[in-house]
Amino acid sequence: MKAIVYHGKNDVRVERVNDPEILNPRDAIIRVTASAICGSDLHLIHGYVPTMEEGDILGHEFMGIVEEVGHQVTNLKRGDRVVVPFTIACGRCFFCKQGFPTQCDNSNPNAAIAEKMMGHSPSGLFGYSHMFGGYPGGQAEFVRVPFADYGPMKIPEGIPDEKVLFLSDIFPTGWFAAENGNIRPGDTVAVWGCGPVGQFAIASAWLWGAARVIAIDDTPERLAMAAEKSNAETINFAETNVLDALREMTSGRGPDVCIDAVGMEAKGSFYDDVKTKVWLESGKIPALRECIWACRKGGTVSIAGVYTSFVDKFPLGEAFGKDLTFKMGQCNVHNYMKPLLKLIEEGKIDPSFVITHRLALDEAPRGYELFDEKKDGCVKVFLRPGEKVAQA
Amino acid sequence: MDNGKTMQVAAAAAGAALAYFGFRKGGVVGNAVGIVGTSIAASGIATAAGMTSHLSSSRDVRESIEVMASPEEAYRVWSRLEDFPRFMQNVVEVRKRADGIYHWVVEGPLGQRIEWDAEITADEPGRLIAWRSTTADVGNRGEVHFEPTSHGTRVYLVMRFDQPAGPIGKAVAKMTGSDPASIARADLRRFKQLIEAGEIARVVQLYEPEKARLTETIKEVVQ
Repeated sequence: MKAIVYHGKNDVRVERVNDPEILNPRDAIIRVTASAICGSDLHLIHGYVPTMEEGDILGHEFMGIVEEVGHQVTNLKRGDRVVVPFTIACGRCFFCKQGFPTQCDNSNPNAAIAEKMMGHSPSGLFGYSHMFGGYPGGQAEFVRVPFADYGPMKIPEGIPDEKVLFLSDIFPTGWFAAENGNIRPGDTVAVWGCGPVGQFAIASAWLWGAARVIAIDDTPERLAMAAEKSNAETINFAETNVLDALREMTSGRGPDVCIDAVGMEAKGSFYDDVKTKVWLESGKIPALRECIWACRKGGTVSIAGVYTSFVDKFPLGEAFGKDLTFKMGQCNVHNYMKPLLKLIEEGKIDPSFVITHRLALDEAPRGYELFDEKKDGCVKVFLRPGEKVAQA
Repeated sequence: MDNGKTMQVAAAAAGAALAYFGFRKGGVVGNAVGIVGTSIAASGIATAAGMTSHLSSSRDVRESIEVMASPEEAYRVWSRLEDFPRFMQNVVEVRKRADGIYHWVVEGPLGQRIEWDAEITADEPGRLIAWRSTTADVGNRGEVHFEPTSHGTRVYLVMRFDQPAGPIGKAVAKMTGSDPASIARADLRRFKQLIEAGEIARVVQLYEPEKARLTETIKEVVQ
């Protein structure tokens, strides 16, 4: 089959690889009909995530048609159309049962590596380095999906792929960021980062009852999307001092909830740029620092952007002094797929609003480039593995 | 210089080399390799200098894990010794003979095979299983305890590898010497997967360089 293969920093290729096969009784093979490039894939190709190896198949946002199931998968059959959550979870361990499928004890075959780095191992992930299991990902024509009797969700007829694909990751991730913000009626919510997760955090903040939502970015098209599609007020940090603007907009009080939808490659701090260049720091946190400084006393900082290791100059004293609450983490996406599908069916949200580019799988390397360099107004690349490249 | 000391000095040298190449390569992975190399070098030097002592007449490994199952169920799965190869990475075969003795076949990382016979020395359903090698030169014993916790069962594994004696013993020590605690921990983790998830997490890589075609790098697309 064809797949998007990692070959090193900023080097992804479309290549022929072996077809996946059923390995375990709870597996399924999915023929991918829609896939996407995630902001967190950019952290991989920029070399911020250790344990990537040449030949790794990328992609963790995908959906498709069930081709084959293992003998213990009784809830799915060939031909079913499913969305697959990006985290791999057994559904039976302590953490799955406590509502933390993303911390599943039983899905990471390389748990020992993750344990050495983090103290404990989270779940396995599709296409996201060997410390998360080394599972071949979903930017491919076919994917082997473990624990297919627990993760994949069947999609009713009549809803196009574009509307439901993002249930695999970024819509639940943005929703989770808003939920983690403990939003109460009347709250002002500020969201750093207007990439796809930021867009969904903004849209979700309204659904959680925010009275005002303020979007912060430096890319005009992304700010325009937040304003037009989700009715957010905007701050362009390239032109305006964010802390001053937020103070002014909230009469000195500060936003009640600050969401970091940027993660470890944030711009704007010379100090972090230098330290990460010489590998004395493994993430840049100017956005997170701003969240902490801006947040009102007793407010909540919710972190949805991805961080993989230690960071520097974390303003702990400021957070402590202001009684801030922190919530963070990889979204427990399994928990949100059904309720969010219901919101889509009810017409409360149409997640396809983030899509700016629709490409065939063969064009994915160009998709990476467009997305990475924010060229051509790119916010989200939607991939169609079943489709041929249009002849220009 | 005895053999042990030679090994420690070799480890220190290998660690230093790893550190050098790691830091020279740079990047997250390079630096991680560098840090690991430094720690190997440091511990190798410390051990060679007699600052720490891992050398004793036998090596004990103690590892535990919690499983979401009753002690009876954990015991039941563990008591099928013939199934050990399903979750123990080095164990190729455990076969029960007519006389009740179990014949073990274990394979090391380089493909070297060791075999021995073992008898069950304790068997208390829902609580404990213990075994001991009866083959001269391959001294080892193990016991596994099942204790109820508030969430399930604590599975507590103790294994002892006797001091190598003779060529076979030396080969066993070499095999287990790689890091018996890590192997035991990984084996317990797979045991937990088998009991809780009903299967052991596996991955097969699909990329083969010689099969890959359609090469299309970002750079080529840009042009």
